[in-house]
Amino acid sequence: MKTKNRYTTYIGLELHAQLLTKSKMFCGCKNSFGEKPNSQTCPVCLGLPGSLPVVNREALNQAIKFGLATDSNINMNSWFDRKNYFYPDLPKGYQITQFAKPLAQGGVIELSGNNKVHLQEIHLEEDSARSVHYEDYVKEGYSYLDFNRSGIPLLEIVTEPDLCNSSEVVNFLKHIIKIMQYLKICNGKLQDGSLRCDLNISVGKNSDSVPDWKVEVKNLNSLKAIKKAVKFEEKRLIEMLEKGMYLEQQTRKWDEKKGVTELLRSKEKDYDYRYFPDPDLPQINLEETYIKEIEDLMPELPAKKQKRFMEEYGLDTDSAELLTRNQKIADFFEESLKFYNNPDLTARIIIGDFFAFMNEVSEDFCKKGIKPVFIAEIVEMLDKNMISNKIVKKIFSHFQEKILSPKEMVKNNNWNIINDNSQIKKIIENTIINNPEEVKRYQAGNQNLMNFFIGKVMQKTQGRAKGEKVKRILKELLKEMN
Amino acid sequence: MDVYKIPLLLKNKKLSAQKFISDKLEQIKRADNRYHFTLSLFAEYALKKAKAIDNKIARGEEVGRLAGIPFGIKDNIAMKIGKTTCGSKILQDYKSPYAAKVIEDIEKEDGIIIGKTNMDEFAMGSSTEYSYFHKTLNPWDTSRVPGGSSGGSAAMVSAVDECISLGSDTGGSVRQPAAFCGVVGLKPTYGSISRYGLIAFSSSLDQIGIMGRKIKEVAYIFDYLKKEDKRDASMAHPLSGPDTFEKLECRDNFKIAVPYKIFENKTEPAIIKSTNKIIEKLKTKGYKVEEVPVLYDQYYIPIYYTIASAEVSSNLSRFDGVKFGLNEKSVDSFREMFVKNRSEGFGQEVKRRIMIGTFILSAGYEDKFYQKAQKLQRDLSRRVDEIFTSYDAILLPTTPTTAFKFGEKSGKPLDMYHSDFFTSFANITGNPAITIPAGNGENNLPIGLQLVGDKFREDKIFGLAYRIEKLIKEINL
Repeated sequence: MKTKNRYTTYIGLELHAQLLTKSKMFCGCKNSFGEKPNSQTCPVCLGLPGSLPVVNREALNQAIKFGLATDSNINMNSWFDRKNYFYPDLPKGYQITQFAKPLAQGGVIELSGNNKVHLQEIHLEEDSARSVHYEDYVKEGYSYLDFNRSGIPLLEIVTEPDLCNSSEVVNFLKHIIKIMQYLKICNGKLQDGSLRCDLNISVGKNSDSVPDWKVEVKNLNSLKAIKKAVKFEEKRLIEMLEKGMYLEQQTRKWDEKKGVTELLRSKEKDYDYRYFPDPDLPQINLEETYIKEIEDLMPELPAKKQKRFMEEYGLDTDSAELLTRNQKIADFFEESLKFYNNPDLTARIIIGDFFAFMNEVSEDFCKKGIKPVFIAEIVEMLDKNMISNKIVKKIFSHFQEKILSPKEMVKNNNWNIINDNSQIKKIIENTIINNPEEVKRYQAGNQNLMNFFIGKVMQKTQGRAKGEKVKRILKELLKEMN
Repeated sequence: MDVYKIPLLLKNKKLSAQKFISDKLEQIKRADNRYHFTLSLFAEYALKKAKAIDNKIARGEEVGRLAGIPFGIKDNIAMKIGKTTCGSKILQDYKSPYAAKVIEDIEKEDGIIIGKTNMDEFAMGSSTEYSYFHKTLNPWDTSRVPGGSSGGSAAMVSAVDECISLGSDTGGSVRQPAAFCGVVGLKPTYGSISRYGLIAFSSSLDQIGIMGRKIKEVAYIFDYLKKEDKRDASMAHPLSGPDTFEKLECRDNFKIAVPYKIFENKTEPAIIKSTNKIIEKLKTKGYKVEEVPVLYDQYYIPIYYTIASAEVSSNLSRFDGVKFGLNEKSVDSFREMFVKNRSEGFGQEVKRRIMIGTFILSAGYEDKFYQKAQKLQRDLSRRVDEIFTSYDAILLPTTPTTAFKFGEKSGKPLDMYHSDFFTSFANITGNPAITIPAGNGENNLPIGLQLVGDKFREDKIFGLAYRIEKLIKEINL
């Protein structure tokens, strides 16, 4: 650790996000995942001679949305360039991308703790076909190509080397995925490749500026892999520096099984892609009014929403963050308030009991059929002292889609709180009588046994007594006995 | 018989499509045996189409507005029928699974595609000698080239009456062979006919063009092929400019600009003589003919070859052995597959241009060549637009020479490139241009007269060309 402190790590990311458009970037083929190989193709995305590209406006709009969401400067004039290189998965022998004049530049993403990550640029491009290497055919010297992926719109996001360690990288990625999900422009699945992340990492002595070399790490298919790869590479590079070794530009590949990065290409000379403006496509000239129209259609973004939840509903930072981690949860929360307005209690029920019930808050949120009004009824009953906290769990565990509302459940099962003090007192007295040993120990000073008594009472009342009330009466009675 | 009369004759049952087409096929076969202008002939398909037209008429149904008109199509325009070879070995067996927009339009209007015509490989060349398959002979003198790259299309219209052919014009590839073969050739405004399905040579210069024997025939066809197509983003949306055929005779007060200096120094005397005679005749008929300065003439060839080579080096990258190529199985790596297929699949001239273009686009040279050429292109285009605020057409010869002999220039690329001298500037600026037969020069070889017009105002140059076509009969050229 001592050595590590003498170095600074610089990490920049290069992200490729598949946009959630109906059709591909330059043709009308369906943009979808998991279809039969080569079923979503046409002359354009197969690169057949004579075919021509046409820009997908929806992709352009989604890219503009992301640019606006990250405070980037949208270039009112930009264009597509051709990146020329030969590779079997590249049907035209060039990729249509934006090089000289990207769609947007100079964005910034603010992470917690005033940490800012600057975006160098955001641009649109097309995905390549997918090479498929079936083992049997590889032996025979064959590989297969699936052109369904060819031409899917990609948003490339390039950050400045503003990240310093693995947790910052992971936080940044979580944040950026959240933004994209809010905007409904990418589903952000690293494991499916709908979001791809390459790391650019370098390490320098603290006093130095950013080194003029970097190591690029590819093949990172999960946040876990990214975290491990950053740590591995950071350690490897520092060790090399400690040994006084010379560090050079390299491209490496993360091997998930071995947990190491391996060299792919070294000392790569700048490959000459012979970029030039694609003569098949007119330049993109945007109007302020057009951008404004897109801006007006944008949803409230997570950071802003979180701030608003804190101000408007008086939530603490953690609750506000948890409730805004995706649009559906945030909407669910606010929808629920419309039925019964107690933000604090609603937040507590959603984050506590509801999340626990959901087990995992995925994008399939609400699949189990729980509606905001369900939460609102629980909150109302709690707020009005009609049920105890214990009953909330019961309500969730008894939940069956479309059968009973929480209020009906409470009524039918007689779960409502026991408000009659004499009734509770009776139960408590019984509890004390039945547990003389514990009473002795309690009175001898073992205060922890209070919870034991409360538990016993709760058991008896089936959670229908208010914990605080039980505690108060217990204390009184035990004191009297003493 | 002018081709635009064919649909009406069919409709009035004065002509049988089957009889007409089978006769035409015989005529084409005979001519093709002598001049070799086709790469493929669709006799069965053409007869089937003709039968369908006859049946429609017999049933009293409407037929399309190109019904029965025979078409020859340059082999770089994609069709689902037959092969689309681009005159190249690398595409010798290529069957396109889709058809170009122009083909869709011709078929929709019941036009009859008879065959595909020979061309310089991937449209690079000015003599059709660079076709991988065979040479095409000039029907006026079989020891001479028909011009290129659309040499097959020009020779076909020259040798066979009552037919139309389509070519592509990147630097003069429709107009130069049309002039060499003594026919009318139109290169429309860039963006007025969809390029969808035209196998790209130079995307920003390519334009599909039309050849016929008469102005009126070409105008008639142009009106049907000029159509918006959302699949071609480089087209004008919406398409402006009036229809041309109906308006051919409407106007008669054209103002003509002549850049005398451009051709006086570099042109065969017979061509200058013919051009001047026409100018004099126009003047005596009361047309306003004025000299205009020559703009950037020393740069036409450099701008054209810079842009075209750069773009073609990228456009032809897709022929890499994966989907297109020679099925070279004995390779050990991707690289070897690419190299082998491209080395063996492309001819010399294509390779030369790919190499020039690759060099032009390489890192460090962007602003020296391609960007500079584009800057000049924009500048020239603006200056040319200015001319059209005062004039209806620029008049100049189509080519500096008449048809040359086989082998005369094929080993001398720079001489060959010079053939485009008068034609390339209309591609650089995107303006429409038409060549019309203007008599014959030495050895009785045809001469072409060129009219360049304002963008999307083909109607004006058609109108003037139509007048000149008539006047020429009064001149002893």
